[in-house]
Amino acid sequence: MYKLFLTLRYLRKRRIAYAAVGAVTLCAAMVLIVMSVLGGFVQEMKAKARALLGDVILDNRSYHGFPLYEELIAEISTWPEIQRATPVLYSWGLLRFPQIEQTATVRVVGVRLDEVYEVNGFRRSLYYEQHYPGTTSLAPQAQAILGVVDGPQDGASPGIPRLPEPLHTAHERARAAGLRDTDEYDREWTSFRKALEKDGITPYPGVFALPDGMDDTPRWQGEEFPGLVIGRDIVAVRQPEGRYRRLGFYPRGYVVTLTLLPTTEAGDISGQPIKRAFRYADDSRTGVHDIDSNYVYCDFALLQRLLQMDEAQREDGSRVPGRCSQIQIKIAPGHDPAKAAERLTKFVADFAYSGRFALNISERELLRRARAETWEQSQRHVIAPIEKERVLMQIVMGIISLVAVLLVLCILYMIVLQKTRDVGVLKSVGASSTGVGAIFVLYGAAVGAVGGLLGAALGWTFMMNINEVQEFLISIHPGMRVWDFSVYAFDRIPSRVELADALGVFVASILACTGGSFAAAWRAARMEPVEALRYE
Amino acid sequence: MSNASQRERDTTAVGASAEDARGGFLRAEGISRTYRLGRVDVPVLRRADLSVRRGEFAAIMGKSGSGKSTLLHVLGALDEPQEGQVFVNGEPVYAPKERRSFRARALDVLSVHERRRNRLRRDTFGFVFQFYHLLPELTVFENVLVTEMVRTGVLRWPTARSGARRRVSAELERVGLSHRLAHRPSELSGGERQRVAIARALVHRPSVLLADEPTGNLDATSGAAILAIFQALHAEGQTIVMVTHDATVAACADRVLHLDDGQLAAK
Repeated sequence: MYKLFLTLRYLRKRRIAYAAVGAVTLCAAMVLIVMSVLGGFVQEMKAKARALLGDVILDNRSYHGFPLYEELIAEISTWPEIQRATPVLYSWGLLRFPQIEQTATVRVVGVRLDEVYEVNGFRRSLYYEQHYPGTTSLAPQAQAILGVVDGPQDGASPGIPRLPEPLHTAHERARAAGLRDTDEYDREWTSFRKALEKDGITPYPGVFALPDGMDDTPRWQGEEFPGLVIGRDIVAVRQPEGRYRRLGFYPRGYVVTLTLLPTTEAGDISGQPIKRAFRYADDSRTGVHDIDSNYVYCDFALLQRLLQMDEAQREDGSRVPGRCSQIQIKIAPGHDPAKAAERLTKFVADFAYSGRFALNISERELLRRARAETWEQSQRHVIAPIEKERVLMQIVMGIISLVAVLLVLCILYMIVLQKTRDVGVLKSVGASSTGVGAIFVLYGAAVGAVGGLLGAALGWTFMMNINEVQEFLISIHPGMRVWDFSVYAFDRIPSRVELADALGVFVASILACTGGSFAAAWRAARMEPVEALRYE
Repeated sequence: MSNASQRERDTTAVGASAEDARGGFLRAEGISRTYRLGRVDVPVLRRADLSVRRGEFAAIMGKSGSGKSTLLHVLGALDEPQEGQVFVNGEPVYAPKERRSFRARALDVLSVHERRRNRLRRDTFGFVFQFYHLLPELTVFENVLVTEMVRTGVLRWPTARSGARRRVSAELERVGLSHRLAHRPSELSGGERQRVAIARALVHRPSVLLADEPTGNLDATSGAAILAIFQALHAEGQTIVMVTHDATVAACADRVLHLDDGQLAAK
């Protein structure tokens, strides 16, 4: 009993113990923060990759894709492990914003929006779709014009702003559901909005044009062009302080042009570049900088046609099958994606040579080379190095934490020296050597427990506010940004703390400090009572 | 039951016949102890013999550095002699020399003899030191209570705690410190500290009280108060062995022994 009693008393009364607790606290917090940031980074990478790709991806890593995707999807859709599959096309293009004379090279992705919503988390990345559900479309569309309808007949109200249907209903539904647009307005939009508000008009978040001239009827205006989803970092530029600023006033529905290079079946560039007008339908905010700054999304069938990858007929009358770049697949719950990918790869090889379809050698080879991979396997080139970096950092942090262990060892050794007479007294009243040693082992464990607990709490609190801390640092000086989104892919520092990590740090602190206390405890245990009593 | 009668019962139950046969409850035979100072061996005790009867108040006198404290420590199982043996109730305190291998010495902390010495210090002896040696982080009450804690295992403590606290309170009341229970040693006078040390030494009702210059660090008044406590204890039947260099203090004892040239002689 005296061991516990004296341990707690020494912990409370010996101020030098506070230094040991402080060192352990900082080390534990440091380790937890590093583990959480790197672990969160890996988790985020995995979550984003899965959300953007689906569970399994069939790809032949060829720019000109592979044929028979419709037949393949029809076949595999009967498998119990396949919940949904959708073809995707990838190409390159030149995106131009005519109103502001801005161009950007982009990766063009052709998707079937309704299918891709079911296969992966693409829908969650669409900003306006999230705030005004059901309003984002890749189909041909005109420009929505905000109009004004008559307000109360009191002569005071200039009218009620209103969007054309079905946007008006979608907005009303969103408002009723409490969905609020949280976009950070750029400077131009802010001044524009203020001007509207001065006129008593409630503005809609910088996405719709307003009545021009005399006609203030809510309506759809202009030629219909296909919709295009544009990555956020293409339509807006992130400022050093972290805020986004649009490339000028560019509301939803404005026209952009996309220039594409079609390819032949053999993989050559075919003919002249094709230029097409689109309407800006939504922006994609995946949070992955590399994707948000490079990708635009249009309708699959349209892109396939523009790239001349759709089904056609040769001069000899034979059929040229349509091609896609990738098939993204959602696996049914309870099934293993890795096993499904393995089965699919084998199936595709057999499928290519089954003789059921008329394919030429080139087409057959394109299909045969298609490999199915899980989302994890497809991203291993990104995830594996980060995992290794995480382990490396844990080792480095562990070595740094040895400093805390050595500090605890030194402090406890010093305390033993200071308490030498106490050791003598305790032994003179019958305390055993193991009992006296246990006091200092318990003392080390207590320092580790308190330090580990405080460190875990400090690390947890810091992690919960890590982005706010960075914003504060940036507000002092933009050069104090520690997390560069263009380097680390994500625009926010991962801030999730795993309970297991926090518990691990806590337990490791106790073990490390207990280990660090052994030398001091051994000295105390081996001390002869007379020597201890005579100690000066 | 009074403390004195309890002590009497504790000490007579087992070893009365052994004491009768060999002539002393606490006996030291042929004790030799040498200290090494640098490269020089300094003999302090040379085959010293001592026998103390139950209930006796013995004083050991000698000049400074004569080995009085060393003898007291050897008697109290705190310091192992190079030669000789100490017997309590006829039982040897230290392990026989010939049986102590290097390995046995290395594992001293776990050895049977170490455990036996611990038990003797815990149950049979009570120490009072010249410099009090109180634990500065603890209050007066806790300084005494810690002895009870050492004697009681952690599992037995919940049931033993109230009894231990009662004994501590009673002992502190006996030495006149019931009004100082929550004070720390640094808030007490020298005499008060020594009384706390006496309470600590007596709370477990030891068979033998070993006092090392108990008044050596006190003024005359405080010293007299301490001696009064010792005389009262002696009157109750407490066996006391006291080391002092002060003849006035030694005069309180039944028997005074002089330590000279490492050997004891009666005055």
